Amino acid sequence: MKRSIQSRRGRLATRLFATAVLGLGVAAMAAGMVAPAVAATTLPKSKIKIALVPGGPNVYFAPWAEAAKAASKALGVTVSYVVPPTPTFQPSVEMSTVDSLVAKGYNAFAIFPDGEASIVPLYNRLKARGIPIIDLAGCTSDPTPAVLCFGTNVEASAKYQTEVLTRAMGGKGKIGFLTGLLTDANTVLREQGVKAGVAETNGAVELAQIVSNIDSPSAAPPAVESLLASKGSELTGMLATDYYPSVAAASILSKNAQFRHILFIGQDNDPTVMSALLSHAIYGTMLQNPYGQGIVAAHLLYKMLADGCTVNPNAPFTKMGNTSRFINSGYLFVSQDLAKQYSGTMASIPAVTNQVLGETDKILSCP
Amino acid sequence: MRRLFSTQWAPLLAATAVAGIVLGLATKQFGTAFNIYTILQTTAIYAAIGLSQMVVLAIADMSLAVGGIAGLVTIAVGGLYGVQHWPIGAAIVAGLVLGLVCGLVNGLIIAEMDLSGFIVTLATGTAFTGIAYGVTSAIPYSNIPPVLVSLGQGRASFFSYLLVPAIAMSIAVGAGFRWLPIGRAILAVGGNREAALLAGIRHKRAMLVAHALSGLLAAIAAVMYIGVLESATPATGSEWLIISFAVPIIGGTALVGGDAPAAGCFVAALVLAAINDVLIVLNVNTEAVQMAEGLLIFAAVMSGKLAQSVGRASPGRGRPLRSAGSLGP
Repeated sequence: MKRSIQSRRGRLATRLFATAVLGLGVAAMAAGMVAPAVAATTLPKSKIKIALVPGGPNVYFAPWAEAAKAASKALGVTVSYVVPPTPTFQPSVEMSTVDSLVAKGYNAFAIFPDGEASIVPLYNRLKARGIPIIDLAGCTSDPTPAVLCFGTNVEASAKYQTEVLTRAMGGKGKIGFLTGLLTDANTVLREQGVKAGVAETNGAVELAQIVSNIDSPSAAPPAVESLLASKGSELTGMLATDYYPSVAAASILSKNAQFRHILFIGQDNDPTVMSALLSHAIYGTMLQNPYGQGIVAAHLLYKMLADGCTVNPNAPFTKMGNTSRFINSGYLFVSQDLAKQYSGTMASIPAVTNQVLGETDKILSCP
Repeated sequence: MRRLFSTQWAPLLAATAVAGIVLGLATKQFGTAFNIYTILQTTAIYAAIGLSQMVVLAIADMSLAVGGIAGLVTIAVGGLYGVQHWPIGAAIVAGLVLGLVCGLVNGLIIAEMDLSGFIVTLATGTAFTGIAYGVTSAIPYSNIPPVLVSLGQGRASFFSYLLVPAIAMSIAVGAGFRWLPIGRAILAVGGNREAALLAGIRHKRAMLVAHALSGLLAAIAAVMYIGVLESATPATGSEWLIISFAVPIIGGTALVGGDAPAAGCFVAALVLAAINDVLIVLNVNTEAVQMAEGLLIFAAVMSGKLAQSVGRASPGRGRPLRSAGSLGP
């Protein structure tokens, strides 16, 4: 009799355990794989704490700090720019930084993901706690707990950059392409963009050489010089889609007049690049909108927490290689004529920022 | 002349020279003044970085803080000149003193607490990098004085001006180890610490000087580099770790200490710079540079072991050969 009761208790315990496991599994699936919408409740302003978290200390993200201050002032809530202490963009450091922020009461995040897959477990944990996440300046892959991804459409930007360059070259000639690590998702997209731009010329423009893995202060200058030394006489155009190759090329072209026949389009508005542009040593540069990224992300997250908005599945998203919920934060070609206007200023494209903010009611569904 | 050819780096230099001549004949771009300048400019930087590591390897220690010190010195010079409006000479001196002090701190902790240089410099190097990023918020200083840009990017035909400080550093370090008592003390402690102690050599002082010198040399390398990129970024030094070891090891520095071939360092820097250049000139994937560096280090270690075996097999040859990769006393 006693054994029978024990046996029944054991079976009951097993069933309860199985039910609990099944329930947890369904909950986990629901949390991680289904709807991107989070935050259906509303919070008072005093309880809203938004964090903009870059991948690590990098000059590209610097305007996010100003955006956080401006958004905090405009929205009347806490918006902080918190840099994970990892110059090498280690996912584990970024994850522990975000965990610390959650412990301090932050309840909405815009994150540049260090590793499009390795950061997802953190996202799942945040989503399970009802914390909305926006991928900012880089996207995690679908299915992702991030409600959307807001960043530069790097493929379209690189294609446009190439088109401007090939037009300036008179539609023919040879191009050298300076870029970052080829295993990086953004570099792959940029390379695709450049190749697509070159393909439009039907063979009249040739992509003579790709020099990759040089987006660092020590790798960029010698690589650019070696490319110029070997192909400088035959290149008619050159473009860089990353920061350090752009700075190095601008500096070297400024000091070496024998390569001025090469039309160069760089990336971002570092003072060295803008100085080369003002002195007509280079043809142009591509501007991105990191300030606008910070402003828009903070605004959307605020609406989700304060007004209980959720992401509209029918929002005007662009389908990208790894995500179907992408919104372009904009890019702009800065010519020699526009150089003065964008020198010494923060990287920002207000027209795009205002346009996206104006579409908030299309991006979010609010009660 | 015979002594020159008996050095470990002599075959490396000869092979590089032959490869250079062949490449110069095969591709017209390789032998141009601008391309040779490119190689020599990189050589100068690599040599400075390598010397900074070599002086601590000589005492059988290591420094993982070379890059961190460089980053800190870079933003110190850039900030003092560009933001605080110090005269460039004063900013450079302050930067060099800062590098020296960083090295001194490393040396003090290691010598006084008898800790491993690996652990201490891992910690301080990370801290130096953190300070550099924290002070600048990762934003580089772009107001670089023309004198540093002229130094970094200036040339007379193929001769990079950076070679002047690099050669001066190599000669000074080489001479210091050969003729100065403290240089010989560092080598003695590196070669056999117990024997050096018995001989009355103050090993703590030697350790302190080796690390201080390493910090100073890293600071000089950083100042040299500011003009190359025309930007003082805290990311300077972030990728110096591998090169800081590759240059002295390929140049024949023994990992177990007791050796400091400054000329070998310079030759190794030349070889690595030439490989970097050739792979781009020949349109080979740049990832191959890392593979080539790895193979060269491996070759240097293997040739060291081989030389050691030959030395043991020939007891009548006098001084045993000591070279990179020799793992025993």
